[in-house]
Amino acid sequence: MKQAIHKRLYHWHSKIGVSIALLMLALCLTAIPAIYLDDIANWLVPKSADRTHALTLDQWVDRGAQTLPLYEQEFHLELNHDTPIFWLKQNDVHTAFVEQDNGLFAPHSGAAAVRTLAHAHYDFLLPRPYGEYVVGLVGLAALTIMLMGIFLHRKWRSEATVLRQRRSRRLWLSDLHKVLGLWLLPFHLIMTYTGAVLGLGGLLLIVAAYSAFDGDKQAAIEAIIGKAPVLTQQTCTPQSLDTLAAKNREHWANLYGDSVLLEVEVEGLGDCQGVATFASEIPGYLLLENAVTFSLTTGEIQKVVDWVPASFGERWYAFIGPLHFGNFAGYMSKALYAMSALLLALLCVSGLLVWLSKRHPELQRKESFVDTLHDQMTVSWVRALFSLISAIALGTATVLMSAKFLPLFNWPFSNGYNPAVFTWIYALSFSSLFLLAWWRAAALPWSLALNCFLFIFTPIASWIVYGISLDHLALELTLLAVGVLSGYCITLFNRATSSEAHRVSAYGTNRNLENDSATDQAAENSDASNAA
Amino acid sequence: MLRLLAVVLLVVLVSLFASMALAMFLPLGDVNRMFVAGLSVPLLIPILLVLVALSDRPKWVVAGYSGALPLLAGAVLLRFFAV
Repeated sequence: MKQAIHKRLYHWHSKIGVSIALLMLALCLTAIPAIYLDDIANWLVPKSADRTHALTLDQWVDRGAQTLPLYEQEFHLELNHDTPIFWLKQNDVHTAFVEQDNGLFAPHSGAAAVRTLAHAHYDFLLPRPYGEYVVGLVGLAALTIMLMGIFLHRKWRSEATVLRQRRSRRLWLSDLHKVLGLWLLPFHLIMTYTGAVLGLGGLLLIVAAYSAFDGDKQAAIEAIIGKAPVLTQQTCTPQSLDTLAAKNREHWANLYGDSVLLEVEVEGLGDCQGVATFASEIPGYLLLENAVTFSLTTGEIQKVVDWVPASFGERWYAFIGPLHFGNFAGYMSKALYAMSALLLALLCVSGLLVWLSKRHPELQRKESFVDTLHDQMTVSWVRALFSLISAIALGTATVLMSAKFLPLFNWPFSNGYNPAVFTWIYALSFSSLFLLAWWRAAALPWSLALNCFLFIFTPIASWIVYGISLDHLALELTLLAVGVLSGYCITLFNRATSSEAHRVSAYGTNRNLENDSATDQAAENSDASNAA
Repeated sequence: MLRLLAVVLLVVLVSLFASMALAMFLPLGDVNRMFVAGLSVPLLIPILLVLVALSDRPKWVVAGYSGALPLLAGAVLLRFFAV
């Protein structure tokens, strides 16, 4: 490859990479709770004797209808949690309702908190759909720089196994960036492409509609999920949902032998034109859920969405969601995805530090990371990096803790929890800590101490208040581990402070960093000539 | 940076028209065509950007834009109004 092309590729790779580094890091870190949303929901909404799947669908709807306006509103019932959750659509806003101990349905803190954690990843808690577009564009930019990286590192066989730890820190970071990028390339390409499609879905629908339906977006949507029913406001006796569920099971059993019912969506319960859609997963296929829509009055099938025998384009679409969310192989795939998300975060951090170390001599010194921490924290980008990581952890911890324990005090709402409460809790704790730690590096150890306390306090208090459950032990131990890790980071900061104090007493405050850098550069050159 | 932004904008335009043209002229059904058009855009944009970055002859790139944009846009519009 010509040097000019290599230079241009490198220039574009670093420019685009630096522009999205912090956003990409935020996406990777928020992805980890998003991967375990189902487990967090089960942890936050405790299972009790009368809130189990022992009740039939009709019994659930009867119980829900005593509190919720199920006969007037569109709703769906999520069945893939320990406790079924009603999602009610009112004024185009979906709110999750769970049965309380008193038998009434109210927006439960757990369901609302899970939604906040999900939106932190899907759209950075920004207004929809603009937040999704931001996330989609970040995914698209990440996909681009990864493709550029392939052409930049054509000697990948030798670069994939080299990690020179005894040379300069920049060289080590550069090696780490290449090793992570090369080994995880297939996973990262899949994640960024599927993330870009999911984020930019609203915009891509316009392109899709213009290429097939003369720009009619509604027609494009109806081609996939069918027409929305036109309710007549005339009352008819609805069919039993359990009977329709049995028909749904029979339909898929005839075709594929087995199916798992995940969700029931009902529109117009009691209306003569009302419909019920049953979404089922077909085991063995990495595709979106298949769905059958029944008329609630006659019980006849109105629409079938079957992704298995679908055309190439439809299967391509149906493949994207399950591939991105990574719950197709249970805990194994979730753990793999969480680990890969962490390594992708490390890829962003190493790339950014390589770029920064060219510009800041204080990042090039050869002493250990801890010994030079104070110098590194004088760089605004490095402060932003650490602040972002700490602030995301704090936002997640405050949401989890408040969702777990606020119901005990029946506060701030006597009849339930507005989902916006957790969005505000997350946004306030994140933004205040991020700005404070970015502005003053001295605030960072305090933020770590706060994280340490919250991550250790939440599981221990949960064991004391709700008791130890083996079902949630893995999640609670993970929270504890994050707390211990935060505590370890505080000890590193303390070591850095004492090392800095020792250095100031030994050399004075006017230490010339450029001299250090020049010494390092000379050592690096000497290394290079020795190697040659 | 401005040059990079201009390149990105042109590449996005070419990708949009290319994906629509691809879907419209392939023998596909309506639903299939819709998915192919929508899902190929996020693939085409990075691929074209990398191709532009790899090209060492600016004249070819400019000629590519000036040829591809009117051709693809014309093909899409012709098909759109003909249907």
